[in-house]
Parts: sequence; C-alpha cells; structure tokens
Amino acid sequence: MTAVEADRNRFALFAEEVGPRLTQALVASLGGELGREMAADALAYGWEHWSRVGAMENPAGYLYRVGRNRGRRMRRPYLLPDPPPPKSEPLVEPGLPSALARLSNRQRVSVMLVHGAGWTLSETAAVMGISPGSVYRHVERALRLLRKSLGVNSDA
Amino acid sequence: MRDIIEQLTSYQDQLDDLYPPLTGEDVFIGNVDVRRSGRPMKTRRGLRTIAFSAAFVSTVGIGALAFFLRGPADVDPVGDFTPTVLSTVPIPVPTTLPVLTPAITPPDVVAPTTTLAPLSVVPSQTGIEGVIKLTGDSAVGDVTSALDREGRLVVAYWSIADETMKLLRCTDLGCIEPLRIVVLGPLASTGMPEIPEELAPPTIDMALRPDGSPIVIVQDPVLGFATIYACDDADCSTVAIADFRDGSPCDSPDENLCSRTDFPQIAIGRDGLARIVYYHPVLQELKLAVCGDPLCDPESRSTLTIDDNIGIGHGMASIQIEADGGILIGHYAEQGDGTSQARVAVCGDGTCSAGPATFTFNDAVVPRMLGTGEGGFLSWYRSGPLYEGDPDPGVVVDRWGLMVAVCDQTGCSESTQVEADWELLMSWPADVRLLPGPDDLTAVAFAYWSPEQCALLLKIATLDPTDGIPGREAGVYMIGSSSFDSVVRDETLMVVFGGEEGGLHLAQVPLTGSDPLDAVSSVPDRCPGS
Repeated sequence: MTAVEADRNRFALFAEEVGPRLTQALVASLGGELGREMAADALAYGWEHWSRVGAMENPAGYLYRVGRNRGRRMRRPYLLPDPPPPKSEPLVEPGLPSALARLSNRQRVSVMLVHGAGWTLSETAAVMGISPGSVYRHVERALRLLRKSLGVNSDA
Repeated sequence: MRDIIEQLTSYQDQLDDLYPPLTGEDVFIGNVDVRRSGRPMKTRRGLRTIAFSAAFVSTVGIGALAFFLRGPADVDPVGDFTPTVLSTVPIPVPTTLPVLTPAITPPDVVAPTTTLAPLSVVPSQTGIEGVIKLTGDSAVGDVTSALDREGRLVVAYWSIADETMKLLRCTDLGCIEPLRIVVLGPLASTGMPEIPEELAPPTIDMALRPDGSPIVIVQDPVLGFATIYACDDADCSTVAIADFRDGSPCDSPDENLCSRTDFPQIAIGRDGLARIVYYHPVLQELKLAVCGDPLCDPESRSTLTIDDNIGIGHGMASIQIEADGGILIGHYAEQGDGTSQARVAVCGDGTCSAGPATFTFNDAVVPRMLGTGEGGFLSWYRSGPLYEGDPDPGVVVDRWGLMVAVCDQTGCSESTQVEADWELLMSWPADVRLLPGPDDLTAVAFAYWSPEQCALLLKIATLDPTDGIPGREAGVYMIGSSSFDSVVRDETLMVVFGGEEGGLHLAQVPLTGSDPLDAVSSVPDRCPGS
C-alpha cells in the first residue's frame, strides 16, 4: 500500500465518522443549503490538508470552524426548511425553524445537536470548541427561549 | 402540543433526510478529484480556478486600463468579506494647536453646589423594567462610577447641558431616595474663544479613597492636561482642585502639547494615594504617576514610563490595583506596520519599584485595550482576521471580537475569545467593562451599534474564568449614549448610562437567578423601513 493509499484509507475512516456530524453541525449553524455546502467544503479542505488536519487533536472541531468561517463570509441569510405539512397532529410546529433562526448561533447549534441529533454535551463541546458546561448553559437557554417563542408549556 | 425536545428530534430527522450527511466516498467521488501528483484537489475548486483565471485575465486587462485612468484601487485582503472599517480610535495629536489661556482660574478649594435631582422610574425605555432616571440633564457625556463602602453608588459625569463636571451620590442602596449632586465646576477651557470644533468630550475617571472621598480626574480636550478634583469627604462637602500636567522635557515649543496627560485613568493604592496612568502623545509614551498627596502635586509624585514608542494612535489604558498592592496596566502599542499589540504591564508593588514586567499579545490588529479587572484579568477588542494554515485558500480563524487573558508578574495565559457574535463583527464596541462578578464569574459589559436593530445596545455577559467562555448573556438593552460605566454589587450589575432622551439612567441587572433576557424582545427594530 502506498502512502497516498494509506492516507486515503485513513481519511475515508475519518470522513465516515466525522462527515455526518459535521453536516449536522454546519446545517445547525449556517442553515440547510449553505450548511451542507460548507460541510462539503470543509471535508474537502480536510482532505487537501490531510497531513496537517489528520494530526490535529480535534480535527472535527477544526473543520467545523473552517466551514463556519467560510459560510459566514458568504453572508447569506440563515435558512432552515419548513417542516412538511402534517397529516394529523404536527410532529413539528411550523414556527420552529424561524424560532431556531432567532436564537444565537451557539444556542442554536447546541440545542439542535444535543436534543435534535442526540449528541452528548462533550461531543457538542468538542466540535464547537467550548466547554461542556457552556454547551449545557446554551442548551438550557435555547430551550427556554424556544418554549416561550412557540408557546409550549415546559411541563408538556 | 408536543414538547420542544420531541419536535427538535423530529425536525432533525427531516433535516438529515433533506441534507444527507457526507461521507468519505462523497468526498473522493463527488466533490474531490486527485491531481496527478497524488495530492487531492476539489473539482469545484478546479472549476472555480478556471472561472477565476478567465475573470483574472479580463480583470487584469480592465484593471490595468482603470489603473492608468484612475490610479490604484483599494484592496480588501479579506476577499469578499468587507467589514465596517474598524480603525483605531482616532487620537488627534494637534500640531498647530494655538496656545490658549484659561478663561477662568479654578480656585484651589471650592464649596461645591449641591442640588437634589429629579427622580423618576422609566419603565422599559431601555428594555429593562424599572430603569431609574437619575438626573434631568439634557445630555450626558463621559460617565464613571464606583461603590462606596456601604455599597451606595457614586457617579462622576460630564453634563453637556451646562458644561460642568458633576458628582452624583446615591443616599441609599436602591438609589431611590433623593440624590446628592455636587457641581464640581467647568473645565479650565470653558468659555475660551477659538475652541476647535468637534472635540471629543472630556475623559473622566474616578476612584474612591479608603475614607470614601471621591477623587476625580478629567482631561480637558482643549488644553490637553487634566484636572484633579479631590473631595474632602464622602459627601464632597468641599473639593480641592489642581491641574495635572506632564512635566517631562519635551521638544515642542507648544507648552500645551508638552503638558498633555491624555486619557488619564486613576486607581487608589493601598497607601490611599492615587496612581494615574496616562498617555503623552508627543513623546508617545504611556506613563504612571505615583502620587504622594491627594492632589498629586508634581513635587510629591514620581512618574515612570511604562511603555515607550507606542505610536500616535494610542487610546485609553486601563489600571487595576491588585489585592497585594501590585499594579496591572493594560494598553496597546502600534507596530509601525499597521498592526498593533495588546500589552500588559505588571508591577509587583504599589510604586512599581522594580519596574514593570511587560507582556504582549501579538494579535494582528488590536484597536484598543478595554479593561482590567481583579485577579489579573484584562480584555481587549480584536478586529483583524487571523490566517491559519496555508495562505491559499487560508482559513480565517474566528478571532474577531472581545479577547480576555489573565496575567500576573510571571506571565499571561493564552488569550481567549469571549465574544464573536456576528453583529459585533459588523460594529464597533463603543466601550467595555470587565468586572468581578458573583460565583467566581467575571462579567463583561460592552456597548455596540447593532446593524440589525439600528440602535446602540448594551450587552452583558458573564464568563467562566476557567475557560473564558461566556456563561450566559444577561441581556441586550438600548441605551442612548456610548458612554456608560458599571459596577457589581451583590450579584447585580449596576449600569449607569446616558439615556436615549437625555438624562443619566441607572439599570440594575441581576447576574444570576431569573433571566432578564425577556426584555430583549421589547427592544424595537428601528431600522428604516422596519
């Protein structure tokens, strides 16, 4: 196996593990289309600079930052898709995407990854580059604001 | 209605379907090609490169023509991101300032005027219920505040309405009883003819001595030197007034330039006497005066240069007396190549007898030092992108915004980004205070112009000192003046600021417990067309 092939295998494993999470995190941070586009950009960047990125302590967090910075520089509005029309009781309130968009970036990413995608506080903290305690505080704040915004009783 | 957590889970499932996660195969097959050298290259970037090359050829041709016709154009090194120009705070260094003679000669000791201020509670003018309007001044310039030993608020401010320095003292903790307001007097330059227009308001700072008597220092923006108002007691029954001028040898024939003491900041040492840090724009030095008496008489004080050759754009430094009596001074210095460094000087004792230990932070652009706080905290605002990795494509690391570090005599921690919200990047934080907060938290308050709401806002956050990460954002409030000051008492941040409709206002914001963020929603969007 050549060095290039070995690198390719290592990156494939890395991307398989990190790719889905990177996509979820950047969609939460930047919105749907832009988030996925930047996830592709960030992964491609990771592969282009694999010798350096692969040696990093937290490559997923680094690529999240790459994608987020590039996305922010594009200055496109934050857009999340509306949920599909409900057939019976709606699974998701129509106002949820706009309520999410009104949160601060850290609140939105934290609450979507922890409660939407089921990440642990530590996993979320590692990607965002902040402490688990801070993620917890952002999640609590975000839930409170979302409940208030959508008129959902916290005891529901 | 389903709970939010259930809705988030369902919604994430929908997002995962809409935006299927990428894998390594996607990268290799779909988005990434491999160069013949074996190094990868993104297909999309390859297309971009072709498009860029075509655009480059045509642009160079047109650009060359334009160059000959119009001269060179500005270049934005950040590419498509063009932030609001965040230049350093302009510190004019007048070279032709006429020699002016004070219209009045302040007496050495005066009996200040005392009045009782009108008092009212202004509901939600600023987004906070129960903001107290302390005074009826039609406008307020610079503001500085402190707490006396009983925890009552003391405020020194410049009243634009009658162009006087005033001292306000709350007579109770809640500041709801009648206030005591002392008119310290006008500036030495008040009433002078030929005062240059568009001068900045006076720079004011205040500290309380161990007996509670305030000492206020004000720089006269016309004459350049400062004035010290030293009250004889906590009520400021009488006040002694003296000029505070720099006495260094200076080449300029203009005495006003040589005696300048720009942006004076004051703190009280453990000996009960003042320490004043200021900037001398002709010498381009940051200086520390260790006062030997309450009025900091030139004969009694010693002055040392904390930093030299720090550039002409220097702004306000910050000074903090530590628990052991040592001195922490934060400032920044220009590098001559357009970049600046944040710098900190740490003195091991109250006279800086061994000279300061100095440390630097090599941020690319550091417009100004923002504040120092107990425990060696210091903060500054950073406005430049930091490139990491290869120059092309390069990664602009998220290092805009408020930075914090902790220093002592042996060195400083690595700087930590505190705040980098998008709205902050698009604006200029007008002011910031770093404060000791409750539960080992440090509170940060800063004002900035919000392009989203077209309003000057005050934002408050608390930090976890272990990682410098904001613990919570306590709220965003509308204020009318970029000048504000704040202190913490009993886990409450007390913010004094100029109100939008004039007058000095007090907002008391809890740093823990119930969340006042709800008030944010009452801040109206005042952008045109909204």
